[in-house]
Amino acid sequence: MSLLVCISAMAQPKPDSVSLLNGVTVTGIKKQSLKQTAFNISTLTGKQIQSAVNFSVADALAKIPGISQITTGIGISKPVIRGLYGNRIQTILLGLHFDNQQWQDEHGQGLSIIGIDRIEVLKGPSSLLYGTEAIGGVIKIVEENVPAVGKKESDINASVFSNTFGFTLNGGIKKNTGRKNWRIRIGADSHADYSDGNNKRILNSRFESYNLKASLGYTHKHWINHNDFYSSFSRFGFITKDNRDRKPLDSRLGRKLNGPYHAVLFNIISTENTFFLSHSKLELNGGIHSNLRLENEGGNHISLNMFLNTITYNAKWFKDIGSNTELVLGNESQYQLTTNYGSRVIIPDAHLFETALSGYVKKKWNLSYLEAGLSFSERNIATKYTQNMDYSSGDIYPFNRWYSSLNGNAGVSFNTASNWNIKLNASTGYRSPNLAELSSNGLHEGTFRYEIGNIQMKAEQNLNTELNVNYESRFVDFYTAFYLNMFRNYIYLSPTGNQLYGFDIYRFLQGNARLYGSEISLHIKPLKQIAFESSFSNVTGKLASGKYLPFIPANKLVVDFVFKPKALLEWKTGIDYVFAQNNPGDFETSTGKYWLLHTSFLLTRQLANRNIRFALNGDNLLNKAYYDHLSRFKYFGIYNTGLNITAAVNVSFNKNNKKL
Amino acid sequence: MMKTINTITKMLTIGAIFFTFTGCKKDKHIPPTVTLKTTAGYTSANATVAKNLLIKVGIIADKVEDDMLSYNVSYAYDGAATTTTSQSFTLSGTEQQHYDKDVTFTTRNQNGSEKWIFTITDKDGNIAQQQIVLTVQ
Repeated sequence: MSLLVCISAMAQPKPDSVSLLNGVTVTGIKKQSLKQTAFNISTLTGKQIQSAVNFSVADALAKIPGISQITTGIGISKPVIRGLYGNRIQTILLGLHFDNQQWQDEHGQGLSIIGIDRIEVLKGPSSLLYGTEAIGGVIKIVEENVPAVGKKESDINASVFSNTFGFTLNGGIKKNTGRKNWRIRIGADSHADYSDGNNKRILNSRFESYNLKASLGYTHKHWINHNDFYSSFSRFGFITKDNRDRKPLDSRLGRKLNGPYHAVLFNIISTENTFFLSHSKLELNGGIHSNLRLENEGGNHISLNMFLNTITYNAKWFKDIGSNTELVLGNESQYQLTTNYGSRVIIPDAHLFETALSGYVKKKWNLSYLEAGLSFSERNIATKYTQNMDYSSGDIYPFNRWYSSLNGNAGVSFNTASNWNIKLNASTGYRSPNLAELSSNGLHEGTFRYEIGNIQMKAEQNLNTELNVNYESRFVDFYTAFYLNMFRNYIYLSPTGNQLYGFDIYRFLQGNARLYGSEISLHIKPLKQIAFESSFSNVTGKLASGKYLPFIPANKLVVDFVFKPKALLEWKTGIDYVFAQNNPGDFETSTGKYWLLHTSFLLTRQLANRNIRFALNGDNLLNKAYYDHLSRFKYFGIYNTGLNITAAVNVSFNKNNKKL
Repeated sequence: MMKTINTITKMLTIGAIFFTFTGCKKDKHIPPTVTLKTTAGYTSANATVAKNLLIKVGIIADKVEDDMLSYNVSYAYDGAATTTTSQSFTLSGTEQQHYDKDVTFTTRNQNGSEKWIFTITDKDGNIAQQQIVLTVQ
């Protein structure tokens, strides 16, 4: 065990391929292997996502060292990268920024795992490449591949969850004729309430989701065009401090949302285009994203009704300069319109416009790569006079703020012939305050804190420096990351010690802060069929005043034993050991340590014209009652999920299936 | 090429239909109603009163849109910006639809102003309140 407890991590879970460092990623400026970039990028493959049977994208990502999730039950969760979350994380979906109005703790990321080829996570700031909000990291969701030319593929996926009596079901079909390709995928998820480790049912933690994805693409001699449409509707039962025990008990399989709930409907239309010019390449992407958030806060009707429309475009021009140097110039712009339609208003109606210009150079030098870039961006937030704040006379008067930012990145990835890879990287990011931080003046539903913003807030700016040391060989792989992330004007919520009408008053404040930590992974492969995999991650977040930041995950150690007697059969079992978090933020309390036992079994069969993959998973096998530090339910005395057994079947049809 | 553009246009048009799902009418903010009892023995308006005087204030609150959640009585002395809670009640059962409550408090033994605020909050976080300012002499 002590041997396993060691080391590092760039934190990718064990992939299907032998080498992580040679795996191709598309996050960052272009398609490249991890060896070729100074950025720290982790990948979850579609197979890993489907086999592990996750509740959501955020749940899937939480298995990567350095990544965790803030949860409000199972359905509502948002990813945390090295202690940063919400508007400090940029999600890229269909080539565009995805904004699910994530400025509040209980607004989840809300993305289903269906139709995903893989998810890539870039840890650390990358405003150079992805603009504001990429201050803590980027989650890039890569949609399923276009089939090979002349192929038509279809698949059906089903999974069941013992804890929530839940199921997911989705199916898709896609075709590529060479000049034209298309796909359509439809899916549904449905979960009843979850049970904790004491077998206590957590009333109203149920949720459901319906998703439709469609694509149409064309390939011309000098132009590749790909267009996507994604529509999603989800509803999440919601538990507040005052209603947790008041909901009437219904059937254990009950799914009716007759208590408080959140509903999110979003639609995305995007177009991605690559033009091959005579001596260069131009990528031009654009799209529209509408996001409607409806919340029933316990008043038996929808009171919060916020509509966010986003129009985005980005352009990148790629030019090789000589044989070892490449130049990329980019421009990205985004316009957002937030409108309130509900009787409850917590942020004002507002326009947001942002544009950024960037330049990036990469040079190959023997086996190593040097990269650097600069970007300049301008962001404007203009609000409109908005009535109806919680507080009867709390109208919000218009304000107009401009935020300018210069960001950069410089890094090097050294590679040796003996499989060592060392990365040094320094990058900056920035984030303008969100509308809640600027203009809150009312009760935060559920917790009933009275929160007050400040329209004079400055933008957050950070500088992250990072060292990765990685090594791969026949018997041992290890990956390490050590980082220091320095923030100016970090925005945080802090209790004032005063009350207003019986409610505790919290104010959004700013101060310098630093987050630092490491991720270490070690894989030992004594035999071809056997592997020991372990990872350890830790992060500390502190303000300059010495106070700790909220929602900082506890240190975590994961140890797994993997047995793979045949290529198509794998058994994996291990423990998650989560240390006590004794450095809580201002409005938090310490959380005790816990450990959970998990196991998984994966079997793949190839028949005449179809592949069948069967996965059986068990999480929290000892049915322990525990609190995770990032669970918002902890403060309502509600434990995390108890024992959960999941089974998943994937059947894919293809006349010419490739051998696995 | 034209065929491609036509197809993209059709896709965008179909997609645009989805974008119109949301309503364009804004709901009104409707907090609970709160009134102070005006019958004999109750104080219901600003007044000049004596030191150490027992004051009785009664409220009647009714749900309009959402069930009511809590009732809070706070005060601020001599024009202070922050208030201090005197009494706080969590409402349950039928109280969430209709609430009738009398509270009593005693003025200070010194000259000055006392602002008393009576606040009802509903489950949506909407706040409705009444207040009286007592000048103590």
